[in-house]
Amino acid sequence: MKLSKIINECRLETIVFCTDCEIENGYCGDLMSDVMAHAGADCIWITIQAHKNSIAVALIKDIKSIVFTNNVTVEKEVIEKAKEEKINLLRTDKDSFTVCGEIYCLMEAKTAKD
Amino acid sequence: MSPQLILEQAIQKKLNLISITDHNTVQHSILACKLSEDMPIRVIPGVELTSKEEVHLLAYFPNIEALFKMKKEIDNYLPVKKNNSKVFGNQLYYDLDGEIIGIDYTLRQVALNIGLDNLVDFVHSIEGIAVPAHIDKDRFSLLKQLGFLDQEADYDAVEVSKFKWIKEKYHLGDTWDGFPVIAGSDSHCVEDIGLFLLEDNQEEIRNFISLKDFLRRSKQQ
Repeated sequence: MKLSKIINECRLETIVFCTDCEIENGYCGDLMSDVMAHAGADCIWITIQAHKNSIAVALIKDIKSIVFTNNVTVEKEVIEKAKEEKINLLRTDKDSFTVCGEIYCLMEAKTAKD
Repeated sequence: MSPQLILEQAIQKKLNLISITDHNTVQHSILACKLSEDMPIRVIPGVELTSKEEVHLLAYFPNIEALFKMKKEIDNYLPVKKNNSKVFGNQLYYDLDGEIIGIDYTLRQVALNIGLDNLVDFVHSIEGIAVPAHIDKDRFSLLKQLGFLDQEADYDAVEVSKFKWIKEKYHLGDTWDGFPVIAGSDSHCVEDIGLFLLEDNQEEIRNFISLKDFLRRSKQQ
């Protein structure tokens, strides 16, 4: 599924948009050690951890899109680093549970249709 | 644990330099500093902070005034929630004579609403030193929460658990990815005090200033 479809359907705020990549799956986690161990490549990562290490973790894991939930503040430094590394950054005031549910339903519906 | 008791035990165990670093609170660290003025032991003002990312950060300061500034910052960023004494126990306040004078009803086991890097910058702005705590542990540690140690980060040192320190046979002056390693005793009751300590064979570290200087030199090497 295209990232732009997820952004539109879930009404996510776009902070950095580099490429309209294909999202294969998703991962939700706030412990970066856990994300490094378990998140898959090309997934959309849902988290409240808007630290600049998040960008580094995304790079290591080949994650191209991150959704920051719970209305967290995203510092300028994080945004700059994301632009530099071409990572898409999205943001929402919804909590992680809600966003995961919405994205999951979207992707399941698409799989069922295919 | 009253500051009076902590100091008595530390002196009995022949410790020369200690710091009391309670979670997101400074009263007892300040009391211990005041009490120690007439005692054969030096106390560095300190606190253990929890950043927004739920990383524990130790902060040490040159004097009580700086720790007071830190307290104000904690008050600004600590969410107002009530402590549940069934879970975390009662948080008692003691006075200089070791008498209980009150109970702290504020929940201290929560994260401050400020990110780790900004917290480190604030500690530095008031001349303190900032040390991510027990980075080898599974809970509230830099490595668990943020995944890895950023070599460009501005930490003055990293702290490991005493278990890691013993296992790795660390000595003062050793480094982890370029950051000087220290370890705390993690004493949560009087009996713990003195069971674990750092040996300063060169007898260089006497107070906050010499500690800061020592860490700076260890980091550069």
